Amino acid sequence: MGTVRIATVGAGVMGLSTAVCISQLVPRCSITVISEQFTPETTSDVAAGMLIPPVYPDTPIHKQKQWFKETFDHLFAIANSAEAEDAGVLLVSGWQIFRSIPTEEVPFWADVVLGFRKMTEDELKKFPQHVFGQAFTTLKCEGPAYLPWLEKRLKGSGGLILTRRIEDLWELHQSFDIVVNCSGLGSRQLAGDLKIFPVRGQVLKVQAPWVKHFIRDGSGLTYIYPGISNVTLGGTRQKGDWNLSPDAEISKGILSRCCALEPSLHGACDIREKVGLRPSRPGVRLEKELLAQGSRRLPVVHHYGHGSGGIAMHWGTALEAARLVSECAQALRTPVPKSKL
Amino acid sequence: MRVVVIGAGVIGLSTALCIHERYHSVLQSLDVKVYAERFTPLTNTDVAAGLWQPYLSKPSNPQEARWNQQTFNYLLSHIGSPNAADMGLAPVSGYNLFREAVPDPYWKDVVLGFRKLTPRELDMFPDYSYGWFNTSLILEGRKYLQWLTERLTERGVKFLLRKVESFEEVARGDADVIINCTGVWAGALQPDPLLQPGRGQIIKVDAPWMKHFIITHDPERGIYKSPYIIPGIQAVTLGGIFQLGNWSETNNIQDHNTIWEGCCRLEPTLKDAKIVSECTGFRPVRPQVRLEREQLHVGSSNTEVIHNYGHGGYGLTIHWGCALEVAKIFGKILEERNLLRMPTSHL
Repeated sequence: MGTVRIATVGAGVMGLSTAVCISQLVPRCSITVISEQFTPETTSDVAAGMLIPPVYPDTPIHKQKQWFKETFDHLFAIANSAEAEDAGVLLVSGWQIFRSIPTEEVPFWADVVLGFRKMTEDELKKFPQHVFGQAFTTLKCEGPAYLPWLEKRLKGSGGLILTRRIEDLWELHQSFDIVVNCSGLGSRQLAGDLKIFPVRGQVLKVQAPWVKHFIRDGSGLTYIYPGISNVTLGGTRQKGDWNLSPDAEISKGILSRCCALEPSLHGACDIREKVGLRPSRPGVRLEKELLAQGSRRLPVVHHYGHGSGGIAMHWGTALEAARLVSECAQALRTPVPKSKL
Repeated sequence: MRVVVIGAGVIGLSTALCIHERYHSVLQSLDVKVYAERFTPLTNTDVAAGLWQPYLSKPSNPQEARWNQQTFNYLLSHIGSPNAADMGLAPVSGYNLFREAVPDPYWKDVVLGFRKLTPRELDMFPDYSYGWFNTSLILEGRKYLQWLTERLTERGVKFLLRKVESFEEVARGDADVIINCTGVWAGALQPDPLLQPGRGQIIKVDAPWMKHFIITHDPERGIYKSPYIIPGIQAVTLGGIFQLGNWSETNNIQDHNTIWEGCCRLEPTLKDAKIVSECTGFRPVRPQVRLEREQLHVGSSNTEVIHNYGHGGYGLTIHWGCALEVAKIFGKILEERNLLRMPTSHL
């Protein structure tokens, strides 16, 4: 077999980063990213992109830490390079605050982020409703800039991009040798996976350039994330809710909760509402599957289900997905013995 | 009681406000006017990046340390008010970088969360091997002066565009007490060999991804002569120029290059940042702040002058503590003249 033809379904952060990783890892292959939606219409474009990872109950902690560290290191290098602005990556410091002492005062990712420590009494005075806090410096990776940056890198290495809605992975069998499924919630249909469900998140993107720190309530429900050209205020976690239209009452609630943490936000203006559906799953699905239909075979690498930790984990899981693709490609290149003896 | 404040930079306006706040209700009548040749945006305060940070070494006058701390605490008490951003005030965190280990600064417990930099943080700055991280405050000169002007105007304080040639001229016409906040130009009213301009030049750029201040230090070259990057509310200030005795008000191309190269080396992400403006200012450098009372004999009456100038590169950092001190001296003058309706013991 000469060139291995690889199709990646989905052009959110998973699809694009996996395609880039594959182009770096797998020799003699062609990569085509096929998606219905592209930036700025993907879920990755709504996410604030803060590198504060969630915990996946079904994934071993050491694996999560590895994925997070690989993502952090990858973005840290970009943040300190001349490409930071183009790639939409920046360093942000701030505080995660709790209304009651958390069971885990030091999370698994404490030594991956920079300068992690407990907040001092003086620092906590700013948040009279909260009794405990963590101060650290982490990264923010913004979809609307990062996705085009990934696309550019992909095209630079010869990758192709196609706009098309895929209803069934077998549609790709004719033209491709390996399919990488990064379709997020689309996997309910494309992979028949009922374990994946939306967790609706509504956010506000506002102008408040004087806010230089992130503030996150430990519950994860209220947060203020300053970015390059706006501040993301959030949020909600609505399980099983597929509604993509913003809700005005919810927006009022978000603004009110965030102003309680940071009163200067009363002066925020140019408020825009956004909704994203987190592709949630008890664990990330990162595995090979050989689809079979009669005599047809289609190797698939599944890479989806990151819930609220997509940006935070993307590069680590993309590297692993690329390794799985590489295994598939090697298997395709290895001649099958003709005799069964 | 007629007070004339000469100077409309941060020192003049904050002192005027402090005095009016404290004495307006305890005096039969208090008339405060501000005379200045330059108002915002043409003052030196407007050029300052506005980061609260004193010099690293202990001041020769220990009161200055106390005034710095009072200013920080005063500003911090406004954080949490919805108007903080209108004042030009916001918390900001960042890095102080050194080429070798140095002792902690005397103000380490004034700022928030002071700590040493970790090795991974230092990896971001290959030219430096030691440093601090802390949370401090930005008080943007221009915004703050606008805010002070609004507060003073609400209180009926008048502003006059006027070049004052002498204290006597002001004493003769209008004032019982003169507050001298003329900054780097104080020498024109009364020679002061201890006062010198510390010329600074800064470049303001659009770099909204910069959320931290980065201040480098080179003990051999001296304060402010090493690159610094300080994000403001809208733009980011790049600097690193300090020239004692230089009165040139125009931007200098070599200084521009020094700043640009130094800051881009420190922070490569800046290389494509758009330049918004470039300006020059004069830090009113003095071995210590001149904050003291002086009596003028003009004709048959005594006019009090309270000097409040010479705040070097830490005017915004120290301004409120000095304003409080001037207010204290002013209170003493009122007591001496039996002008107070109520005792000042509560101050």
